[in-house]
Amino acid sequence: MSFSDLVTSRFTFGMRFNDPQPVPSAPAAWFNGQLAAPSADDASVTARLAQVMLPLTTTDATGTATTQSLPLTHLTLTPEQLWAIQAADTSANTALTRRPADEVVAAAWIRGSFSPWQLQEVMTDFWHNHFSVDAYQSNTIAVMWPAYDQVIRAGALGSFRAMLGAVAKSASMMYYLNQAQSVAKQPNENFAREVMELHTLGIARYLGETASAGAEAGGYSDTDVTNAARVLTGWTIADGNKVAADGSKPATGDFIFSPNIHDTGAKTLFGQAFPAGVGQAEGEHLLDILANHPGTAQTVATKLYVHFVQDVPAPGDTLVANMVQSFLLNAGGATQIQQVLQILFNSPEFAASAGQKIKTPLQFLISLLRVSGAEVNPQSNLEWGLSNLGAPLFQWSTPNGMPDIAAAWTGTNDMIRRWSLASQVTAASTKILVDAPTTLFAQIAIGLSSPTSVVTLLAPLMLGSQLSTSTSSALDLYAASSEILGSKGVLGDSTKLLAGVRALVGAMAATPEFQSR
Amino acid sequence: MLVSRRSLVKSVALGSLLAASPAGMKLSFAAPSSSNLLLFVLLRGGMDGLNLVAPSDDADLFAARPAALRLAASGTGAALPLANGPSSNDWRLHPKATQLKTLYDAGQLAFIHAAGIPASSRSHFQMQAFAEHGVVDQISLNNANGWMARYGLATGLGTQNFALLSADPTLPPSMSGAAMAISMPTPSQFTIGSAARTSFLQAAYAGTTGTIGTQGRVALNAVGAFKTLSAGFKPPASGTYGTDSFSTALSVVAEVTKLNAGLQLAEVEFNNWDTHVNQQGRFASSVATLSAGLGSFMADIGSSGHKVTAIVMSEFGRRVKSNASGGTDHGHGNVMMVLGSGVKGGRIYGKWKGLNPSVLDLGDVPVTTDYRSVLSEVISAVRGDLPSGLFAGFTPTPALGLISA
Repeated sequence: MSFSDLVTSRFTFGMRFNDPQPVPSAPAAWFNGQLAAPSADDASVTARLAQVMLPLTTTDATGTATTQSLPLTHLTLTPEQLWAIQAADTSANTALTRRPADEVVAAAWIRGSFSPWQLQEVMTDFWHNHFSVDAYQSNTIAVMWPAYDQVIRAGALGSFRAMLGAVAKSASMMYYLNQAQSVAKQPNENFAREVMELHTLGIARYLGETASAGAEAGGYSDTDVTNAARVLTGWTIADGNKVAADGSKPATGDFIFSPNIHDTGAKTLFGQAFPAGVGQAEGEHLLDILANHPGTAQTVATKLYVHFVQDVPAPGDTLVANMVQSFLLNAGGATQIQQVLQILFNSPEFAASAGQKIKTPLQFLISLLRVSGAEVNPQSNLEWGLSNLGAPLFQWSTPNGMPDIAAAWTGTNDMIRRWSLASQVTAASTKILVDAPTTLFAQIAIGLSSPTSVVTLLAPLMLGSQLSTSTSSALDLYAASSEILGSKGVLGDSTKLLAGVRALVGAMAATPEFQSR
Repeated sequence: MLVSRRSLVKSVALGSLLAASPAGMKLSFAAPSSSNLLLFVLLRGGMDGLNLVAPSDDADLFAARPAALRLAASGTGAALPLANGPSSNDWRLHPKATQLKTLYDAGQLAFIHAAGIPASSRSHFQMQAFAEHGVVDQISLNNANGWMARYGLATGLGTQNFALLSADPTLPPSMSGAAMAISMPTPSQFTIGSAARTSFLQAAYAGTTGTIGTQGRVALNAVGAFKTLSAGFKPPASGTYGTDSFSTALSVVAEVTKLNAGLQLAEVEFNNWDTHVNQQGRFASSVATLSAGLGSFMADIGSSGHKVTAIVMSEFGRRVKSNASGGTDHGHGNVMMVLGSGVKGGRIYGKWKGLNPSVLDLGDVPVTTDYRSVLSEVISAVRGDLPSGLFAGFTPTPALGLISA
């Protein structure tokens, strides 16, 4: 595998057929450009998003359902605009309240498939999983989901501290981990624990129920969790009931600090004194400590390594340590994550890792959409497919995010579902991939004389240089079977040939080669 | 998960466990006429055992929690009385657990209270990993297969189709390391399609090395075997099981058991127990599902002539004192369950120290029974073998007497 192919397989969602901006043979400059991705969608993506019509089914008080096909109108709304939707939702099934989340899901398929800023999309997936929230756990989380997605997108290549702060203050995270409901009288520890265990310091730094604070060991104890929960009391969402510092009770869905539910006592965290009466700044100070901690650098660097290089660091491998150093050196800087990714991109560990990663369900599906070269209809069949693979988009049920290693995605059921989904996604009947002269199917279906020549043309495009002889001969046989292209009737009929080529693309997506990246 | 599962495959214990394989164990695929199934149910999220099985008259519990998070002895929604508690208190079962009450009264369900993982951790993910790997510390975790996989490898079951089954979409960590473990959430979709397509996949995966190749071949073999086994199978009447995912998973375990597929170990998980806020309604709903699911499953299996023993646990219990959001935070000791026709049920086992703050473990129920005691005792009594080193470093304590001789 060439270095360019390796870069394509890891820093994009896979090769796109007829890609107008493919990864060049010398990818360093491409990668630098990707690191500087603009925050706004590319014009080609914006144009496609504008064409999406997503069904909305509402029910009224009598239970009568009405389905309309509507464009995506919530993606760029502010938290205040999103918050107002829930109160104004007159549908009996609260479909209008969940609509914002539905639109982010639809947009994710389009962006992943077509954005030329693929690194931005890959890192957005990475951080959504790092700061994992189940978008549909409650209506409040769902209605605010575009705002949460904006936070993740904006921070994906920037400063970790900035993203951590924005995540901590977002309504979706606040409600998911119950920070919005935490009060001084009896603090809710959910967010305080998970921000340390999952988002920053990591389980390796957890010292358990030891009563002493863990500063000396560079870790955190349950006492630190309890005290962090106290520090963060008052951090909440303006829901119309919480009292802001000026005595008002705003209902905007924005973050507010509410002094009258804040624990005003002095605290000790990680052996450091948090003096009484500092208010919101106590929480900011806590996030500063966490974001700049070597444990956090280790957590993030290891996770990036596992995502982009291989499941387990090899002995003598220095890449994680080098990324940790870069993370700490650039802490707080606007290019912090970019610097860390540069280290990874330029490392010998990355260069030597071809074929070491298995595609996650999302990577599997989007890579199939991309290689088809087709326009994508981001409809419920795609979400259904991803759910079938055990990984519905933005719906991991626990805050640890989904696993990123081969063993998690290669069980019996995983394999069987991948094989069947490959056929379903490519079949014309599911209407996911839209026929057009620019598709892979259409190119191949022109002027062919034998099944084997179809495979010869198609397989390198789908499976690259990794194609094995056993897979190659298996495809030849399958293409020649009556099921695909075997009868002269199929080869002689352009419509049937197109269907046959679609089915063959589905078969190629089921091969061992297509499962790795 | 915070632990690389791939690293777990390289178990240092594997060789010694294989050497400990009991003589005479059939290593080839053979479908016995009836199963002797061990089912492990993991309640993920930290089930609040004090809201499921508790002393309803404990003054310390009154002081620590509002009525909504306790079991009432009288009035509307009164909890169900349980005989043979571990103290002289008025022990009760959550009012929605009616089928569990029936099983308990019939002597087929035992509770073990103040049980759990003797580790000083309140992390969901670390403690779930401990429970699934049969360990109690992070270093052991990094070097272990799942405990069901270790059992399967030590007894030769790990190389048999359908000996180890997960009825959830993905394989649980407890089975990581057992190459032949099967995940099958939906039997009707456990298919590949046409003969041409099957031949294609078999040829494509025949020579592939690595995880994908191995797992592809396991799946292809399993699909073929299941097709033969399931021919003519008649599913139980509609309504036998609830439509929730927990009941559905249990129905799949029952189906594979009844197919005489050779099923020996199964796991089903049940999420959504992490009740930091508004616990009362959510918990009641989950308890109802748990109770109905297990009740349906035990009845279905019981009428089939197969033998099943189920162990139910959560990674930890919850704090004795509630928080201000109508919920409870992460705790420690908890109630475990063992169900089956061979269980000496109708009794709450375990050493109960009460809930006075002076006896609590930093505000939590102290663990007085190591969960590995329960696992070892049940495996040993029900399966008739406890491979040496299955729970390395653990010295079994005197048996609680959970299983009839």
